[in-house]
Amino acid sequence: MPETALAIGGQKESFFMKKVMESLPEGGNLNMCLTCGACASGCPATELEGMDPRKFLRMAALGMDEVIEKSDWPWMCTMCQRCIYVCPMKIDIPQLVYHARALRPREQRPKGILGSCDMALKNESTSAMGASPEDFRFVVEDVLAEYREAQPEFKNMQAPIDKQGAEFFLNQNSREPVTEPDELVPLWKILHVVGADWTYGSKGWAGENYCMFLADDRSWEHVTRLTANQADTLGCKVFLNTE
Amino acid sequence: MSRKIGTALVVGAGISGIRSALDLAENGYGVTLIDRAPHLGGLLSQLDYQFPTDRCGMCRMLPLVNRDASSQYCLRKGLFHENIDILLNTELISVDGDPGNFEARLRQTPNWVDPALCIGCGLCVDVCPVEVPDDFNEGLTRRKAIYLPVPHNIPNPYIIDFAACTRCGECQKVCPTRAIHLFDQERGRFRILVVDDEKIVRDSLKALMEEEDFRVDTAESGAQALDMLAATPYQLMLTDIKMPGMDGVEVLQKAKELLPDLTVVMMTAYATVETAVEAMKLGALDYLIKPFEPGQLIPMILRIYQGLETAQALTLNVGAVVLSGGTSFYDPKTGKDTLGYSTYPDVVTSLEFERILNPMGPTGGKLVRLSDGRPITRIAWMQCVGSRDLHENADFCSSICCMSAIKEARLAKAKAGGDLDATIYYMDMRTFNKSFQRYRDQAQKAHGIHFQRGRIHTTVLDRKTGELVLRYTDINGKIHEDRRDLLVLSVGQRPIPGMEKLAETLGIDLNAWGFAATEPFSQTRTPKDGIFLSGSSSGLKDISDSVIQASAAALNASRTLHAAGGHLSPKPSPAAEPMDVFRQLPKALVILCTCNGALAQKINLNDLAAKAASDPSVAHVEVLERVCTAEGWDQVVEQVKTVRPNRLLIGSCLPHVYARKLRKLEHETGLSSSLMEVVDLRTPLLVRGDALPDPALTSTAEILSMGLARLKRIEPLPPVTVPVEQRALVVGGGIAGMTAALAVADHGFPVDLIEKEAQVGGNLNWLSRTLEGYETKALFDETLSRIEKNPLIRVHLKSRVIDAFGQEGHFVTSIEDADGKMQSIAHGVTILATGGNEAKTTAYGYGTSPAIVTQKELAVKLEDKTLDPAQLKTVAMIQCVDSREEPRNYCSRICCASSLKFALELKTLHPDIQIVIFYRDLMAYGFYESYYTQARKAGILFIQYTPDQKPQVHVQDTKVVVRALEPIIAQDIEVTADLLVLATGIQPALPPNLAKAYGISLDPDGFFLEADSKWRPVDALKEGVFACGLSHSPRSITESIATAEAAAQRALRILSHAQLTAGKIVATVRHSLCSLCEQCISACPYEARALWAEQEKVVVHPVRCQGCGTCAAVCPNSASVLLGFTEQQMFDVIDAAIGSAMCS
Amino acid sequence: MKIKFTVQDPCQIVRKSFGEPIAEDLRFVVKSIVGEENFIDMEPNRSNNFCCGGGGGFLQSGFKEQRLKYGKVKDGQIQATGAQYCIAACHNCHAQIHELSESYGGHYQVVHLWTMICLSLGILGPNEREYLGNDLKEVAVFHPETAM
Repeated sequence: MPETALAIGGQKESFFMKKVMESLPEGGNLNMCLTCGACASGCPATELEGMDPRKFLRMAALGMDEVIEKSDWPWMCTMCQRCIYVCPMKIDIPQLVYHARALRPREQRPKGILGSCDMALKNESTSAMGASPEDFRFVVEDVLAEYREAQPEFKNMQAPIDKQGAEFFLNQNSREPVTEPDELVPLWKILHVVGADWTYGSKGWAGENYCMFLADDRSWEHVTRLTANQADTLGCKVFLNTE
Repeated sequence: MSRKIGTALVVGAGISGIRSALDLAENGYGVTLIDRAPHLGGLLSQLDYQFPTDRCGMCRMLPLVNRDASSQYCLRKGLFHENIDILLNTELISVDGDPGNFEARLRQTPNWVDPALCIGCGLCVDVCPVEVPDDFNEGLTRRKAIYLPVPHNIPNPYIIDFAACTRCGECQKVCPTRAIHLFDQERGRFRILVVDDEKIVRDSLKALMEEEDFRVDTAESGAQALDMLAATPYQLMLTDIKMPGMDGVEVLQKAKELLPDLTVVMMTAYATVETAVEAMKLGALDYLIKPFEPGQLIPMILRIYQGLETAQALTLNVGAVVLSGGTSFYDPKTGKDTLGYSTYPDVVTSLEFERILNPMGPTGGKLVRLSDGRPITRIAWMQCVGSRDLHENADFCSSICCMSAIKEARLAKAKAGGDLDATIYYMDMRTFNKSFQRYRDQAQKAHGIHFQRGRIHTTVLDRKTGELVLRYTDINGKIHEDRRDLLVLSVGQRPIPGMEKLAETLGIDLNAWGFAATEPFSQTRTPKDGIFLSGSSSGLKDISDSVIQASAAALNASRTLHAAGGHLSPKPSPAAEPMDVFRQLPKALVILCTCNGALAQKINLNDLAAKAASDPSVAHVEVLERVCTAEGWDQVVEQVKTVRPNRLLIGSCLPHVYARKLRKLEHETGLSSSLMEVVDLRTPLLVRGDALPDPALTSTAEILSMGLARLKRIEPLPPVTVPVEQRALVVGGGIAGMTAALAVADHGFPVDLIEKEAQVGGNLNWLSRTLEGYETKALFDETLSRIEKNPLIRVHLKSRVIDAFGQEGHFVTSIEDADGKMQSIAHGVTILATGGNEAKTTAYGYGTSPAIVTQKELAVKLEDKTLDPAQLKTVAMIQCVDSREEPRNYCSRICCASSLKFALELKTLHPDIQIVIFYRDLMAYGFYESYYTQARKAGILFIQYTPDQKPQVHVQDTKVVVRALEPIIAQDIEVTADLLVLATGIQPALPPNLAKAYGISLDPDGFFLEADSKWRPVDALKEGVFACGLSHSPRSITESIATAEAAAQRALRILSHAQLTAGKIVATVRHSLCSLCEQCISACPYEARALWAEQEKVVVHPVRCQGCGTCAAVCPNSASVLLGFTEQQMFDVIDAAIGSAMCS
Repeated sequence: MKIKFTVQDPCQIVRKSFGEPIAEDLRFVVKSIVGEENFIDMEPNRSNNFCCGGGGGFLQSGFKEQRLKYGKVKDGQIQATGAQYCIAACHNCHAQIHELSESYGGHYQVVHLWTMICLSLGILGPNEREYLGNDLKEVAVFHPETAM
């Protein structure tokens, strides 16, 4: 017989997929796979690293936890849910992938994502680019003043931060304030034209949340709570997530 | 006439309804067969060919004994049987009462075209200005508002689509027979009340409906509405749900108190749809979701109007009801439709593809793309669309789509002359009937059809080439792009519309997916005694299973009727003395029908009459107005009684319609109907309105003289009858044999049940439970006690059949008991129920370790507790052991279900047991699928293997190691199991010498060979011998019981007659001319001829002879003669046809 | 101007959150901006749209080669439309598709929805046109004198 076979048998103690199932409603249907491959057929990450969603799920079902833990593939799956969209058994492969990301020690997870999450934890901006609330306020006010002056039709345009009682709480990807502040303006203009009553928050203004991508649940929760609390504190009715 | 006190109602005239109706009619009961469609045949009217023969064969369901009681032509075109009343456009509304005495309320919607007058000329179609999608071609073509529901019916009257018709009246003007009456409507008398608090809604509805000539009033509140209802008797109310003050539901309730017959339609916004559904339970008929389009509203109003005003309520007293309402199909448009059905014309459903293959279809039967007409060279099928899909609440398998996809691929290949790439994308290829695996293999090997496991995610159109691009992943995880001209979606089944309501009225149950549910161990019984299920209403079935279930339903209905007092044997009503016309000179009466004047417009009937009268054999010629009507027919009877002819020739139209009338005429006058002939004078004259020029007269005269020529030379002989030994013999005392014996005995006929073992029960002696959890012991005990209590059943234990001879009506069987004692039994029918056994094996190390067992051994060990499940940590199972490959190349159908049963049982007992099942295609067909789902949910692992890479087994101490390639991870896996269970399948136990004794054949695997696997699934080619249970084919207990009931039903057709009557047209032998070459014997397709060795004569079995004439055609000496079609007659007819015989 | 536009349905707001209704809204807006005749959909689209590969942290995970390979389907889809512009309503999509356009040589522009709205309203200034191509850079410029 050829190379060693994967051993199955005996009473296997709790393994990865089983644990994930315990945390999901209906177990995410994870063990219901018909191996039809519809997921893999529609997944842009199929063939990357010799992996595809069906194979990934199959490995999990067969208890190949070490292979899963070592694989970089979970970081190449964007959890876009195109698989579950057609899966006849509604199997929540994206959740399995998410949990697979968490199998690695935090420090061994991709540096870019790790760094972005850590940045967001640095101050109350929750910005993956590390911009502080003060930096943010400065950029917003500076750009606003500049445009009010240059384009008189918009001399009354607002870009408030922490406006109490505004209807909409808007967050903002850090890319604009940090690298291309002019790109902030079109959205403000639109909000101005339609007469929206909106505000940024000094806390939790950054829309991105790399702690989620990092599968660092606690930090993810921290970031999310911070921004949600700010919206609550300001008494906003609608949270507009621009991400 | 053999009308019985007991009558049955069969609801749905698809093939299963037809089968049930014919069975009951052949038993001698009166049957009312209804269908809501305007035609017979159900789904099958749209399908031309069926697997596994790739042809039709529906006519094989027609009666073979007493065949003159029924029509004898293509059954797709129509059906007449003297005991069957067919009501089309008719729905069942309710059933009240008790078994044996139900009152069924029906509603029949008449049409504006009188079917008795419509001659199908089609002039109306040419002038009709309205075009709508044609349902018959699944909407792929268009038809007019006046149209033929199917193109091939006999007779085939046009009908009018009420919803589409604009009542312009053009058709009425051109109809030559005045068959159309459009304006029998007084819509102004139909009063509608609109209740809505929004003025714009009220006003627009009023305007819309007034445009359709209805009388509409409006109310702005519930209170106002109630006042108006109290003052005026409205017929229909449309009411909004959300209104200030009194809401719509309250209006509904109060209105119903005022006017209980008021029809109410709720109007609702999306948010209150649930309320509307609730309102329907409170008596609302339907609901409309706002905002609605006129295109939605008006058809609904018209439908309601049509139903209320023109539909006729009928009430029937029936003893039993058979529901064969069929199935509908999943519409991919209603789902996510990633496969592009609603976007791309070249993505079609399987039903649409069947229409594309048909010459009457959208492309005239050519394989060209619907999008751009270019030839189709690559087709893909996608299985399980709307089946096996939790998104669509379809945790079931639709059972037939795998086989129909293979069939469609084979037909497409044949049509394209082989130049076609056909690929079927599938999850499990469910070829679960005995001949299906070979059919699949042949499709793959001989026809080059590709089978690709896997599902396509999405279809994309390449706009440059018009190709459909399908993206799929192979088993190794490689992505492929497959370019196709056509994608066929094998759509799954859905319950028919209205099933829920019907079930509620009838008091029957529905399963989780809305199909009719059956009682344990029965495919036909419902909780409501006397109401039975037939065909696909309880889950999609192929033709053979539908036909079996239909006969089983007929059997149970018959049993109800019988128990209620009707006795099966026909009681002939007094008939006129048969007229002896032997050796008399022909004295013909000729009747010419004017067809309501239409014929008289085309030809001079008096000239024709004079011409006919000049023939010396014609005694009298009479011209009548409308022979097809009751009054017209009375005149015909009168003429026959006055003239006393010995030949009757009627020149009218639609000869097929007259079969039943002629039989009745014979009954009343004594003139044999074989001496009557109806010829079609009109059709040749009225083809699409082009009046024939002068030759018309000649051609009409020729038609008439051809009929006369045939009549003149007929030798009138009394029909042959054969007495029936009204006793059955059943070989085999398993559940099938016992069931069949009881079914026959319950009808009052004695049965001998022969069992070779010391006790009856067969496989029930070791089985304990079914997958559904039903206890088989209870079934066994109950059946056994009924057998023991029934004085009509003689059980012969430890006995075997030594020899047998005979044919339907009369067999003699010799049996021998354990002491060597012989006895002979005379019986009229034989039912073979010799059963089957679990197959033996030497594969996978069987026999080398006690830890390797078969499924049966596992069942026994679990039952007698020699195996303790608590000691098992890991269990492996291997499916398809020695099965689905030569030499035993068939699926045993039940092994996958059994493995699921054992696995789920073990998991329930000990959730920590690890179970791994190695399978090829998991045959969890029908509702078994939900158990497959449950099994995966319970954590049971399923590993697929292929026959070229089977699992390897070796024994390691007390354990068994199974090693196999896991194809998805492309790595071997190794299961170290405490127990390995082998699914070895079923082998039949039908000894060849027994088959030979009864003159029947076995299939290559030793199972019973059916006369026709689809249409006569429990009959042997030799009439009078039937089979059921495992000797017929591998089946579950419930399915085996259905075959047994079907076999009993088929037997009862014969047993219920004291004598069998041969058809009027049968073959005989002129022994003086016969050279004993025996060509006729081998040519006879019904085994109706034999060489009588002692007398050196070829003899014809008259009852078995179907009058096909093949023998006459092959006989080199004209010694084989088909009575009614002698050579001299035929020469005369030919002479008449070429115009030399008339008046000569 | 015969410029064709297509739109990327963001997985997050369409398939994963609001489904077909928001995809219709998005099309309503886009068609209103660019004109019905200038809009062309990718196939498949709406809830069944392909993910571009920018989500889930892929942009930051360091697997650039794989990310571009992942996005090849998306690039193929956009190129098949023949559109010069892909409108993105999501930051990650914007960044990823932009990179796809450059790596695979499609050279279509990727532009934020807000840019297009402002352009259509005539209120898009000269400095807010980072992602417009040369064909639109000079069109209906709001306060062109403020160019920097």
